[in-house]
Amino acid sequence: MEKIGFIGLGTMGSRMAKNLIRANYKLTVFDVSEAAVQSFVKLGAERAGSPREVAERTDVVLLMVPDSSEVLEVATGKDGIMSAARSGLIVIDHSTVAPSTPQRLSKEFAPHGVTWIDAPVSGGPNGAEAATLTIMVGGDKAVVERCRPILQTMGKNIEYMGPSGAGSTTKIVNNFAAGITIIAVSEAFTLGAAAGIEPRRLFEVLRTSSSGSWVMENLIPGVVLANRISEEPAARFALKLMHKDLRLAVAAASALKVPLAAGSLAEQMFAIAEGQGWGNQDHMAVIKLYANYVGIEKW
Amino acid sequence: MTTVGFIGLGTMGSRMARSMMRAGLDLVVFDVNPETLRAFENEGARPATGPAAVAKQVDAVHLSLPDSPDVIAVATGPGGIVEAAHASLTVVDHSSISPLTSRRLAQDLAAHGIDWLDAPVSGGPAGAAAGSLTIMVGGKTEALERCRSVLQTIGKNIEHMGGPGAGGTTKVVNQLAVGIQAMAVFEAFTLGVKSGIPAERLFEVLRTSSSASWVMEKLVPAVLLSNREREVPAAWFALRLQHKDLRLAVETASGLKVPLADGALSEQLYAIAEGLGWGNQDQVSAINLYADYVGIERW
Repeated sequence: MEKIGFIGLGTMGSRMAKNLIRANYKLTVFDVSEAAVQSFVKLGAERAGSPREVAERTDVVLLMVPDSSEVLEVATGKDGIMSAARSGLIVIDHSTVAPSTPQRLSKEFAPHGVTWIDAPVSGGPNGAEAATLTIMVGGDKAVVERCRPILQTMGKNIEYMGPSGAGSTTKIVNNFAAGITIIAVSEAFTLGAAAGIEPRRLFEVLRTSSSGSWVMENLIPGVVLANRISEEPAARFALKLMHKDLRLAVAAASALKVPLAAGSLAEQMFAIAEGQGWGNQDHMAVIKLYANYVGIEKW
Repeated sequence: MTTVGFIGLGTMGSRMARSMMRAGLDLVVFDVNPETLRAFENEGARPATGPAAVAKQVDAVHLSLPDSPDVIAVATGPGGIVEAAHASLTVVDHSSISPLTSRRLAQDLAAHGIDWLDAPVSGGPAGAAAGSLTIMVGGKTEALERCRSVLQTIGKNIEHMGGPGAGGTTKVVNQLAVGIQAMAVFEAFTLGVKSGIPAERLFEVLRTSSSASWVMEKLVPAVLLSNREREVPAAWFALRLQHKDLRLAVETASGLKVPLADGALSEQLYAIAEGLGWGNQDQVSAINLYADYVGIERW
């Protein structure tokens, strides 16, 4: 069994790392939070003092950090993975970043014999806990296949999407399309309610019609109709995370010169919503931008 | 034998009328096209000289007309249905018109003792021919119950949504969400494919993810992946009809003072597409607003 390193023991990382431990992998961990590291030492993991140390002592290094800047810091910053680069080392980055990040790092690490894999996840803390994540993978196909057992301890659908960056692209594409769909559902239900149609009745009919969607099916009853829109912490997916994904989509589209009219608008709407302080509410809270103006307080 | 009136024997109306006749109903019909009228006469329907003449002979007059002005003229214009007002007369409007117009017409007709049902349909020409339409009804329960058995000859799901205008509102709301979600699909697939992910593979993964929708599930394989979006006549739903529905949504929202950021944007993009001459192509051809710029010719 490979020796696995895990960098980033936050909301998602801690749950994913626990599944690796449950599967009997030997873990070496690093996190900027001492408390997070301590809790894993208690579970039998070994501590490392830096990403460099993690890379020195393991065969496969997993990352789960909030942003591109952290990924770059861990990869090529001071005492980063690059300082311990050696032939055969594998890095699997589960963070959600722009496709250009893994593409660049993949090129930078290749001459050292290190394979960089982008493998962002979908399914939230619940999916991480239950090991049912969808993992969208990009990078060297043969290496990905060798790592499949590791990924299968954390996720249910392991989807190989193509060369470096393809995993990130798929995640960003899915999430921005879901973000637009959230706006679609928000406008549809606000218009229906303002016109006097009972929202539950509207849901009953629309869910079986051509406007049905995962977003409508999963977020309307549980968040909107249950009037749990403003709750924190968000049960499912925080608004600020959806906003982040939309910003990544706009940036990725811009880099590829792809027009993104509805995606750009959705990003703006989520920015406005986050600016109102709703960042830690469910991503469906953006519906309040419409509902507040029309005067809907309870659904 | 039940006798009903049918005014407007176009693409949808002709199929609905024929489904009614096949089910054993006796039809009194009118259409501005004399050839159409003659064809129906040859099939056993009784032609009338105008809307009032139809209304005089029946207790229910079904309409399937292109736009609000047509419905207003047939209902309340010179030679219109009001001139033949009698007890227990009901107008059943299957046209897609503004729900606000429907509400006004319902009031105008009520003044003459005529009941009104807005009953727009979903399911296209195929659904009309097969008698399997979804019919979203607004109006009095008693009126719907009187007309239910006739509606069952053309529709499978008959959904009572509320008072006058509620049927039209439901249809408009559904089409609004469809129009925006279509944009989500167009942008997602353009960005994904331009990033190097094959369209079929992207579809495979997105359809099981949070961006999944009926629009993606039905239209991507049948139209997009088969590269049939520019075919005329339209495979599924003509672009100009989706544009019309989005215009209705914007109009309705404006009348009710409901913000419609993404709906308004979608309407604009469909207007651009229709202005380019794509009106009779499938609504999916609006993806070419993106694909043409990015250089994607086949999916």
